[in-house]
Amino acid sequence: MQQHIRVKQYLEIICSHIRCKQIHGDICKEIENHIIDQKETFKAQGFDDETATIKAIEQMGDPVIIGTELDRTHRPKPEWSVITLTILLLAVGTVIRFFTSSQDSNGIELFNKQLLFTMVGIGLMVLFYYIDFTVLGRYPKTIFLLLSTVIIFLIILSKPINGKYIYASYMLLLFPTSFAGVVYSMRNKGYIGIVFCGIFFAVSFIVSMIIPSVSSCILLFLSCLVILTIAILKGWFNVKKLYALLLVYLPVIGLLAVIFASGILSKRIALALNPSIDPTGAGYIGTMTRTLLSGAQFIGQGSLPDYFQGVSASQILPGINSDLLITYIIHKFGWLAFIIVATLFTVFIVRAITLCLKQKSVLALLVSTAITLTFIIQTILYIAANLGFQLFAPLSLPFVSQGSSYHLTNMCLVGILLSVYRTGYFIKDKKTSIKTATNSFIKFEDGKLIIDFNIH
Amino acid sequence: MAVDKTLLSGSTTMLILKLLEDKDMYGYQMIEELSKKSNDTFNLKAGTLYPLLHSLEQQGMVISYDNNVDSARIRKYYSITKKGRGLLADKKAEWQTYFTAVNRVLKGGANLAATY
Repeated sequence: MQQHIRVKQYLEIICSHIRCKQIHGDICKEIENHIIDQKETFKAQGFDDETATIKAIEQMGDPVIIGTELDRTHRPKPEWSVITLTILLLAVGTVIRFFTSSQDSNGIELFNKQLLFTMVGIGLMVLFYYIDFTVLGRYPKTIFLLLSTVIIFLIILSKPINGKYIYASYMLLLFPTSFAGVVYSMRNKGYIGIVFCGIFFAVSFIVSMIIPSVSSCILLFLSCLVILTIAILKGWFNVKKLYALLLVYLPVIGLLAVIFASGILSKRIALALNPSIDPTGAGYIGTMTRTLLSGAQFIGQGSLPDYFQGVSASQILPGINSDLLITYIIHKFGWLAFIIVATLFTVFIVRAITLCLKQKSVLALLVSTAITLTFIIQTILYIAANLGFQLFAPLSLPFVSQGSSYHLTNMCLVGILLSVYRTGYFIKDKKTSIKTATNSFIKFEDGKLIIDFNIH
Repeated sequence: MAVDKTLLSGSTTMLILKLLEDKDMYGYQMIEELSKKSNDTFNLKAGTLYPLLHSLEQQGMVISYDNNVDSARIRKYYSITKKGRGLLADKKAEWQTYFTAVNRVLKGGANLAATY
């Protein structure tokens, strides 16, 4: 139905007073429906179309007042709890790095550099906080392609350090979030949609293998699996949930079975559980981490075994300034310091998960879950390694550990997460899908090819 | 009979929740029903209704969903939640207390109270 010019103007005035743009479409649809209903009633009473429209609009009330009132209701609310926790973690990280910087010859320089990147990171967080995160759902393939291209370019252009394309590896943290957008775009696409998601996952997984970063592979694998599972359980693909889960989990189980059967992991697991089986080789860091921890106090400086007399912790353990910050603070200040940091992370993660579960739209749910998982898996890998269980190398401890590129990537992610918490409430999934369905001339639905000659 | 608007505004939430207690409705339907049930006494404006409905939804008192029952158009229906039913009970009790107090005063309740 053609929208009446007066109705259009009326709706425009209402929307001009509502700052949250994401809600405009939904409100217009509801108010327009109301006007049409009212108009039909007047027409039934004998008024002509034009008069009925004018009377119906009059009946609605002042559009400025409606707009202002609706703006008050739909004002985006900053999620102060997560903002505060992020700032606290940044502060804790700065304090920890301040203490560890003295352990390194160029420690002060690194500390200052990281401080600068913390500031840049905050700027990035604010930028992403204000960017409309729904672009992830609107242009998922473009974003995924762009991300993959940038990573591949970084691989081609940079030289590997210790056999690893370090600069490209940081970008891998963005894959789960991009994947969430891809899954979102597969609504009602059936089993084919799930297979497509699998292909996108495979691409990101292969890129991680090229780097190579086993830890990133683990992060990608777990987060993408959870995102896909949530989408299936939400009925997103419009297929039988059990079959869809089997389609995803059977290959996963098969793959895991092959990996375990091949015995690649068994040596790694044995070494992670007991690094002292190779104390001077692959188990060196694990052994030293455990040595430092075994001498730690509850509060205060821990002790080192007699044969390390006169040697500092940083001399026996490389990476104390980057990958093993937590081990160092446990050694230096005692377990209480660890309890404080671990508690902060636990509160952050629990709060983030609670807010994810509150999201109404699937896009907000998937994106916030993807980011939260990226943080959770990084934190678990890092803390496990710092407690002497080094099955996989740590990536970074979000907001805390040394390393500018990981830090900046994590700050972008927390910005997007806060943006989801701020405006996610207003996002409606249905609207986008209806819009795309009605606007396309040719569409494919329920196995039928539909050519619609009736579009405007 | 049209009544003073201020008298209506405080109880609108209660009236809307009461309407939704019986069945799910869309906005226009609520205004119609309210007008019908009150013998045209309550002529609620859309401008009052929607901000109120949206804030009730944010508070979790009602939930909304799109449906095209009885119509070719997709309408946004509202449904009362358990929390909303709780609020309705509170509002009703509040209204009763207020209503009784006003009645007592109107009937010279203050004088009556003084004699006790």
